[in-house]
Amino acid sequence: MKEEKKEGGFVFASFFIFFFFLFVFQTKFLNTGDAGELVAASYSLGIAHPSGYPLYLMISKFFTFLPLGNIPTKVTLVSSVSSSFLMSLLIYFFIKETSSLASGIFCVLLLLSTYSFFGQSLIAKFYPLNTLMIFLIFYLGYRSISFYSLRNQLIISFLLGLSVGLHHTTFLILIPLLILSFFHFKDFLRNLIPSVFLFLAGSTVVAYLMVRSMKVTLLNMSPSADFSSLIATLSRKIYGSSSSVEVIKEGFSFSLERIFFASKNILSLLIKEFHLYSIIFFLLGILFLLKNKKNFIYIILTFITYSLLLGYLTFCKKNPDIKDWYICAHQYFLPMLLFYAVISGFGFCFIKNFIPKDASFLLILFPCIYLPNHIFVNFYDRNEVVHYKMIDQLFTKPIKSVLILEGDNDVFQGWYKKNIEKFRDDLCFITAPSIDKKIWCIRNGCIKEIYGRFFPEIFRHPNILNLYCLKDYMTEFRLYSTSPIEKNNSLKRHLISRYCIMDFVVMPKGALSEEKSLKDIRMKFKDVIHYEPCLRHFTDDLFTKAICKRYSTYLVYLSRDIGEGEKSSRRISNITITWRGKKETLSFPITKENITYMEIAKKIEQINKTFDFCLYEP
Amino acid sequence: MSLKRAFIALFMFFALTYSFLTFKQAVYYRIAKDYEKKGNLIRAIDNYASVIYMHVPFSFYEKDSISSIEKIANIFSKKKNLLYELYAYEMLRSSIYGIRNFHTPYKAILKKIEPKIADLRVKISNLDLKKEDMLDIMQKDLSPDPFFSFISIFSFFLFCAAVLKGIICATEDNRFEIKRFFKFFIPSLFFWIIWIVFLYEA
Repeated sequence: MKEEKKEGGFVFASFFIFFFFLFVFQTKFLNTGDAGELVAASYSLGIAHPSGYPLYLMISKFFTFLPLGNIPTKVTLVSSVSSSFLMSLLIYFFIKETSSLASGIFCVLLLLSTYSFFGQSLIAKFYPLNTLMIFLIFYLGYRSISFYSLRNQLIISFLLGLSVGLHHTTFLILIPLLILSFFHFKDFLRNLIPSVFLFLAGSTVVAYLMVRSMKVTLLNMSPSADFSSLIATLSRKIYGSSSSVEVIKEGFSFSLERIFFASKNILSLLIKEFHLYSIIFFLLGILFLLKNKKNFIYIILTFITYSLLLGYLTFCKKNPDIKDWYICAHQYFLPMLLFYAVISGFGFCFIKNFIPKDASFLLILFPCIYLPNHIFVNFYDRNEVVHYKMIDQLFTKPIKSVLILEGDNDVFQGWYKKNIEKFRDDLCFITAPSIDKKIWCIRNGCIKEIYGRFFPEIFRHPNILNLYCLKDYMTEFRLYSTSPIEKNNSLKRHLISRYCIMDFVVMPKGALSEEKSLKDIRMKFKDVIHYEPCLRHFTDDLFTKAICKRYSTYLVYLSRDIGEGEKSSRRISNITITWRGKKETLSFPITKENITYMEIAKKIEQINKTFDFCLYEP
Repeated sequence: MSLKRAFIALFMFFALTYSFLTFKQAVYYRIAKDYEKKGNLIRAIDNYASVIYMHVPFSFYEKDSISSIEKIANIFSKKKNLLYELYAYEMLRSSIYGIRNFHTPYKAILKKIEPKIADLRVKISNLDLKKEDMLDIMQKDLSPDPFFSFISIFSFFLFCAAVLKGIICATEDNRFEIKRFFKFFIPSLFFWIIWIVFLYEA
């Protein structure tokens, strides 16, 4: 009893140790990727991209009530708290199942030493919460292997229902659960009706999407006011071949080649995340689990589901590129890392009886060797790049301008900064997933209820956005685009774009490019632009690096502006700037003043090399 | 979890976050003061704003940072540098909006600076803009009502808790006892309705 109390106290205390550790490193401003959208949607009780993630948004919103820190910090707490809770739960799991606290600590340290688990725990994203939910369901199932538990079956059903409000990968846990149901088939069938009822009760969490779609909110990426649009949101129909239905369909088409490449990619990912030494523990863990066949089947099947099967569905390219590693491998496979660590924890339990106590203590701490390595590429506490990029991008625009934002990174951060923090809320955003596509939208970046009277030109035609209505904006340098407008085939016949600061100014074709005016704008904001965060962000986040490249581009243009017309014996000739597909070759004299900016630009380029990403080897 | 443990957990959570954010405030504050001394007022504003972003209740650094930003804005105003004055106020305003929680801290400051920002935006622009129109878009807020949203989300958690409690009570003998479950089902239904109603109202 006393021992149990002591262990309970340790599990309780461990949560705070993990939490403080993660909190120190977690982002204190906005991070890249979906964060802007998720934070804005959480705060405004809006709706995120399909499948809407209502459960995540409500939990995040709850955290925003805390009177501590800023809104992104509080939303990121969902990740750090979920991961801390998961790690404490893992320790509890090992104490209960193996009576070995040491195995629990080993498992947790092993998991924490992985790049992706550590990194995802520090940013505003739903994957840690998802992983926690998967483990909760897994654990309840695990406890029902030997003795059927109706309670666990019903709780699992309810949690699965709630998971409709999370990422769809949670539902892969149904595969091991199906096997579990075979172990207690009769009991399972007998209680199927209350289970279905509780699943439906849990899944009513999606009512959030319908209710909030009936209101005008600061952010709604997936309007779902009626049943058909709700189904479209939940099935992620908008993503076409990547929609949930299509991915599942593809999963049923058997391909030996896909299995081979998925296995290869998964193996490569495991080695990068855990390093080779862990394989010994993993194999010993399998041996240990073989003592109880049902446990073995359940755990191994869960691992295979979240590794090979998930890999087969999402990560089976012959040569995955850096985007596949960054978006897919770095995010989707947290449950695989978790179950690999669990099996390795069992392996540690197996080995610890055969080695001296001191050696076992050293073994526990062994995974910590890899921790510093990940800390220095995941130091999100120091990453202020997004925060200042948005300030620079918005502040340098003239009053009452229109900005065409392309791609999730710019769009989501822009929504947060303008709609929630109200920074330069005199601007209007037109957003496009890609500027060369036709789907342009003003719904979240220029909300009619706020800007209807201020930007009447834009709202003149309710369903059509014609850039011609902004012709006055163009002649007055008040229309900007994050990408060259020429990338759009139908617009390039009428419009041209010129680099300004961070973005391009859009003008009618044939208009004088007025390079001098652009130079004046760049010079005017010279002391405001924040390029320094790009020199000290301590993260290998690809989107952060992409943002930093915009700063080096700006610095080269600024150097050209400063050097032009000056007399100097040194000259930079033919420096080619490529920004979002637009190329420009610059030549200019090097002076005392502009050489500093050129050196900073060079440093930024060196620090932010695109292919320096922990999981990727070109 | 016992009530005592829950209280300790809550206290620890606040203590850890509070102490680290205060540490961060102190660091940003020191950097801001350094920049101010060196005359780099833009970077001083940035770091003062960061102090506000690391908001903790009863912070000395925050109040001082707000008044420092206002002081710098006045310096720019005297120098007739409208652009930088606008920068100072925009940074102050967005940092305050960025730390909203159940309530908006420093609401009085917002009330004071928003007309100034509207005025500066109109003055800087070459367009024929009206200060009232600018102020109108600045003050339109579609954020959900904090009280209603809190009630709504809290009700949702209570709904989940009631359902779970219902499951636990209804399965004590590893048999599903509908009567016992319905004892909790009715309160859970009540919380569900509260959740939906307040979600719409928020």
